[in-house]
Formats: sequence, structure tokens, C-alpha cells
Amino acid sequence: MTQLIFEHISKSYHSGEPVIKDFHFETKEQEFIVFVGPSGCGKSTILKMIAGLENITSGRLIIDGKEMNNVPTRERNLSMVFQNYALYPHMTVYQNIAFGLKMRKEKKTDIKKKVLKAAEITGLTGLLTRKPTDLSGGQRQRVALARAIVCDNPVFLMDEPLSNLDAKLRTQMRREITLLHKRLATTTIYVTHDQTEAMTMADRIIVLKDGSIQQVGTPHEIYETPANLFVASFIGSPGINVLEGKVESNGITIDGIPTIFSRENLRTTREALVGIRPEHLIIDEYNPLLTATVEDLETLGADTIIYAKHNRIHLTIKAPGLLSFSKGDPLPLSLTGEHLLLFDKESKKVIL
Amino acid sequence: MDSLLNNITSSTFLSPIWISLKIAILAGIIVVIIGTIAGYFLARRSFKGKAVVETILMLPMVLPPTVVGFLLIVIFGKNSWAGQAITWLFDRPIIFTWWAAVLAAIVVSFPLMYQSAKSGFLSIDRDIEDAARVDGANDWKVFWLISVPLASKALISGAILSFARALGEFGATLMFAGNIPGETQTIPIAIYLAIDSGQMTMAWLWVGAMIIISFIILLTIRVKE
Ligand SMILES: Nc1ncnc2c1ncn2[C@@H]1O[C@H](COP(=O)(O)OP(=O)(O)OP(=O)(O)O)[C@@H](O)[C@H]1O
Ligand SMILES: [Mg+2]
Repeated sequence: MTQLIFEHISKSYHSGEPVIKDFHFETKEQEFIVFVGPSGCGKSTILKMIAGLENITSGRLIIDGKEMNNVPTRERNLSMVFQNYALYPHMTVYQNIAFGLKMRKEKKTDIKKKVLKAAEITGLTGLLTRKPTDLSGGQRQRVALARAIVCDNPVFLMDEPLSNLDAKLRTQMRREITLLHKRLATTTIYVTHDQTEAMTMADRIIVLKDGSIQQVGTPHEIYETPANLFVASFIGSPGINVLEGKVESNGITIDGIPTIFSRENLRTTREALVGIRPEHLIIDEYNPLLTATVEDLETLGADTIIYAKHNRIHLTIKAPGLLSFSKGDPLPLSLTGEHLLLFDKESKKVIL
Repeated sequence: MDSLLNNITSSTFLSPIWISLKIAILAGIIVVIIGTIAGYFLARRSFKGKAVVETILMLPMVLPPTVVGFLLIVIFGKNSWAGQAITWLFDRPIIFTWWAAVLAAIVVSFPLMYQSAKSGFLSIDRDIEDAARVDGANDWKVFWLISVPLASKALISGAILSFARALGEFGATLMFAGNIPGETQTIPIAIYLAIDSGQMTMAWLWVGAMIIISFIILLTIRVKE
């Protein structure tokens, strides 16, 4: 039921450069928002401002129609998973999870019921009497998660809550969080470095760089129509290929190779950067656009990643299936025009 | 043998011990409270002139006790502003009273408590306190349920060091509280005077008492750990 509105929020720490610049954004109700961006771009800082743990230098934060800038943390009714867990080291797992409920003066029997339930969801049932120091990194992270979900607050802030879990647990917890989000109808802000988490969990993704929003959009929008070269390179694994290109009236030249691809709306000749996702380069023996040389291979199980070279350009290709190539093998490649992304050479903005 | 027993049970021997213990315990309790609060405040807040305040709080530790005693006399003496206020409030000046000894002990042992408390609080990960705030704790609950338990080791060792320092205080006490048997004569003062007047047996007994008390204090820390 809860909506968060960020009105031109900026933040600088004591006397320094601003670390958040004009953050302007509105969540929808019960939306699942994922923040992605390189280390140090300000993701945790925004979460701490929402929680009231850092003050807002300028701009307004509004939660459910009420300005929150000067409301103390304890009155904001939110849950948060800290990046470094921040468990209470002197309390057992049970006491850690129960702390928030105790602060709210809930009944002992209710507390017990809720703690056990949260422990069950996070797989901590057998560990309730342990202290945090006797837990593994992944177990601590789950305590942090349990502590946040036990208080069904309307706003959920999670700072890389799954970064320390193994692949299987991560998939499982990812599902639990998504389900919980639906069941509790919370508005969630979720920070992650994991592309899969971002793509699968988000209603909308916000891509940040140096404290500025680069793009806001659904996972699909961010992936298919990135707003600039930064977003295109940041999202997608392996990363997008970027080649020199030239837009001409009779077609787009890529890395010196003329192609028949063209854009209706682009009539004037101009230089551009061409972005091609690794999965959009297709191995094509019959009608190749170019022939690259294989440099290295990575087999991922279902897919194969091929690193190749054409002229002086390094290319990454993601092909389905288990392929075997040797270093130095010729690799005939083609692509389809609809997947080409063009970026302005100067501004690095997408050319539509 | 009989005379030794007589000595030990005599009020001449016991009186300085009780006085010392009472002064050190009361001063210790007060110092633990204000030292913890000051340490927390200075570990968590930043303000203009903080470095100056911190230096002033640490001064009594490095100043010679005679300087501390001199300053106490100047500040709380009969003619000073604070001294007259106390005289007006309690109908007698504080100088040369049991309370003067307590005040001297507080002043010299405060820096030890304050310093331990501050470094204990500084070593706490701020995110843990923040997590408690997110969980709905107010400032007092964060302090009492999170910060104090997490700094407890530093607080306990600060408390014990302060108590020991208060117990051993000599110079400032002698100057500010004087040597009044039964009121301000503490063990260190009694030892000094006993030697001065050649009463070696009494000096030995008090020295022994002091060693036993100190030993018990240090042992409690070790056992606690
Ligand atoms: N207490 C602080 N004082 C001064 N600068 C800070 C403080 N906390 C963070 N910063 C700076 O603010 C910027 C944003 O930091 P923040 O922790 O929000 O990054 P982040 O996006 O969460 O990074 P990561 O992905 O590594 O967690 C960084 O440049 C950081 O150095
Ligand atoms: Mg962070």
C-alpha cells in the first residue's frame, strides 16, 4: 500500500562532493525496485537516507504522502537488511530475530510464533540458540534476512541480502523474497550486483552511476533499449560488444565492414558506436558477415562463451549448446539488424 | 603475636581502610556513570571545539597530583565562587572534608573511565546501532541494549582501573581533603605518615592490606575474562 517519492534528493557527506545528485523518482505501490550500479555509486547511501540513518542534504523524501526528512528512524516502519548484516553480536539468533518485535512490545507468545516462522522460511530453525560469531557468512546473512521479514513492515530495504549464499540457496531465497513481497504487499528497494537477481526479481530497475540515475525501466526495457552505453555495458553478462561504426544512407558500416542494415530515420552520415549483445552474434558458416579468429572458450553447461578477435577488435559470442573450437580456428559470424544498438560517439547516448 | 592481633583489630588500623574503600567505591560509581556518558557522547557526536574538550577531560591524568590539588583548592576553596555556593548550600565548605576526598578521587580517576568507555564505544560497528534503530529502538534503548553490552569489556576494565586509581590517590587528596583521622585519612596517607613517624609495623600492615585489595581487584578481572 506504500509509495515512496524521492523529490530531487541530493546528498553530500561533510563538506565533500555530492555522492547522490538529483535523485528523482517515484515508486508505484507495492513495487519491487532493484538498484544496480558499480561499487561506490551511492546505492547504500540512498537506502540509508530512506531509513533515516543518513540525513538528506537537499530534496524531499515522501512516504505515503508524508514528508519523512526529519522523522526519526524508529517511526518510519521499515525493515532493512544491511550490507554487512549488522547482527547484534551479543544476542542469540532467536534474540536477534525477536528484537524488533520486542521493541514494538508484542506479546511473548506472538513473538515466539513469528520468530519460528521466520526461522523456518530462512532455514535457521536448528540454529536459534547460537550466537552470530558461531555462524557461517551465509547463515549470518539469513539471520539478517529473518530479522527483516519478521516485522512485516510496509517498506523493505535490502542491501545485497543474498551476496554470500551458495548458488542453490540463493535461488531458493530469491524465490522466498519474491513470494514474501507478494504476500506481504511491501514496497521493496533491493540492491544487488547480481544480474540474474536484478532481471528476475525487479518490477523496475534503476541503474546508477556516480550518484546519478542513468535509466529507470523494466528489466526488459533496460536490456533491450538501454538509454546509453553505460547501461548497455553494465547490464548483460557477458558484456555487450562495442564496435566502431558509421551510419550511411546505404547501410551501417561495422568495424569497416559494410552491411545492409539501415535505419529508416537516419539519413545523414554520422559516426557511431555499435553495440551487439554476445547472444546476437550468430555462428553462420553459409552467409557470414565477418570471420573472426577464436581465442578462448568457456563452457557454461547450457551455453558456450567464445572469445574471438576480428581485426583488432575483441568479440564475445554466446552460443547455445556445448561447442568445441580450438584457439586459432576461424569463426564465421553473422547478425540480425534488429538487435543492433547505436550510440552517439560523443554523448554515449543511444541513437533511436 | 597478641599485639599484632590487637593492631589488626584496632580502629587506628581499620579506619583508613574503610575510609579508602568508601571513597573509592563512591567515586568509582560516580566516575563510571559520568565517564560512560561522556565517552558515549564524545564517541558519537562531532562539534566545534571537540578536540579541546577531549584534551581537557584527559588533563587530570597527566597533571601532577599536586597541580590537581592546587586547582581543586582554587576552584572549591572558601573564597571561590563554587566554594561559596557549596558553603551556602551545605552550611560548611567542602575543603578538608570526606567529600573533598571523594571529589579528588573522582577528578583523578575520571580520565581512565572516560578513555576506556570512549574507545569501547568507538569500536562498535555503527551499523549495529543503526539496525536497532530500524528495529524501532529509541536512543536510550540503543544505548542500553546495544552499545553498553557491546562495550562492556572496555567499561568493566575502565571501572576497575578507575577504582584502583581512586584507591591509590594521595597528593590531591592530602592537599584538598587534608589528613583528618577518621574522616579523610586514607591508606596511602596513613602509610606515608606511619613511615614518617617510624611506625614500621603499622606501615607494613597497611601496605599488606593495599596489596591484598589490589590483588583481589586484578584477580576479578582475570576471572571475568
Ligand atoms: N560515512 C561516509 N562519509 C563519507 N563518504 C562516504 C560515507 N559513506 C559512503 N561514502 C561515499 O559515498 C559514496 C557512495 O557510497 P555507498 O556506500 O552508497 O556506495 P554503494 O553503491 O553502496 O557501493 P557498494 O556497491 O560498494 O556497496 C562512495 O564514494 C563512498 O566513498
Ligand atoms: Mg553498498
